[in-house]
Amino acid sequence: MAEPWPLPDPVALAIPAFILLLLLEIAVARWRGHDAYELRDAAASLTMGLGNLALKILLGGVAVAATVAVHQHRLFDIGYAWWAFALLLPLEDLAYYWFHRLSHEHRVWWAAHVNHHSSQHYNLSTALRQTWTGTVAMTWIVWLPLAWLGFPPAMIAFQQGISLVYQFWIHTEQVGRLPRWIEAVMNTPSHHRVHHATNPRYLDRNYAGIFIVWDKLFGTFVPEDDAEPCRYGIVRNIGSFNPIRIALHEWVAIAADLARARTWRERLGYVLGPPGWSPDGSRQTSKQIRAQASRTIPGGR
Amino acid sequence: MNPTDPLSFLVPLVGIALVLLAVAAAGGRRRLKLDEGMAIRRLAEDLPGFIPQAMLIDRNGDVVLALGADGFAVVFAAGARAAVRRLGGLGRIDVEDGRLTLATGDFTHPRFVFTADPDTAARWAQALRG
Repeated sequence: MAEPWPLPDPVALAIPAFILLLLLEIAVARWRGHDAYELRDAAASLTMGLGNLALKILLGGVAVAATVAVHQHRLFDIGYAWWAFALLLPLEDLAYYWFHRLSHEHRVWWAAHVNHHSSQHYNLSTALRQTWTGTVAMTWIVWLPLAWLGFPPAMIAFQQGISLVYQFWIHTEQVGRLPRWIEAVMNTPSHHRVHHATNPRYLDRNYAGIFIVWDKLFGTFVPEDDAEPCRYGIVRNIGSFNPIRIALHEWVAIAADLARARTWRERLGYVLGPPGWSPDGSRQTSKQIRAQASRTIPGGR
Repeated sequence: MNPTDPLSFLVPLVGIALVLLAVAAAGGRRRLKLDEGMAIRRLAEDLPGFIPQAMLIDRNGDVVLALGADGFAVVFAAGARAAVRRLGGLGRIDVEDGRLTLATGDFTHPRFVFTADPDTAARWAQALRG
């Protein structure tokens, strides 16, 4: 079942458009007097993006090999029919939702994903602040069931690229709300601003990639509230523009916690528990922060 | 991305250079200067429950050391934004000519440096040493 034509890499094709949109956003933000960009922050984000590309070239073969191996044992011969592309769009997006949700709910995957949230700015350069350690953390296993179902690995990679390109433009404060029907179905700048915010009521919400319907279906959707502007970053902001620190800080923190852990329960909790878990409850998870806020702030759910 | 095609690397690199030039031209070199009000607001947001009883504001406005009922916290400028750390398990504390240096053992911020008048810096060093 060879590809009927070589599928393009959507991300590589989109790079010139990414650059033009970044330049446009910088100009619009400046014109509006918004404090959207900062040189060292943008440089860090773009370096993370470049590092992600380089590491994909170096290590991406591991995920490809695993996907091809699983595809050898596929349930169905799906092939490259038009309906297969149409069917893969929502299914890949569902896989993305769970990859993203698990990356926020379990510290070992959060360590690979946290760098994407580490900027205290929210602009198109933040979209490019991509992981350096996702392949090593094996976050790609979430997509393997698609290969097992029978979707060709090249088609899955193509759809992942489409999803990544879609998610670029939603990292902006320069687009307000879109028409209601779009906001109801699609992931939009408004929904994704909530996802990047650390306000307790916004924490760990809106995991969607392309379609926001998954969050509505699984109970993780929160709309942006104009009365509560988003504060961007992470609960404990790192305050560093050093790409190495950005990429590795949570891994270093896990290692330090493991060195202090006394039992296997503690070790497992530090690695597989939610970010903020501690055996003595001295730190707070997102759930605990939300619960505390709902007790102290009216409407702080 | 085709690793054998030089354009695969050239286009992103030229793009990054253009974007950074544009950010610099649009005033992206701002640096936050912290004051007491800002530090209090930031502490309230990031460490709810931490009520500062005394503060040492660095002469350059880069960093603020705050004493609360159950320990110390630092508010520091990170470009145009601020971040907060609760201090615990401090390493070396040095004070010399009004320059107070704290080693934190934290991977993201291994040390903080405060400049103040020598007496004030020495008093805070004493308090930090307990």
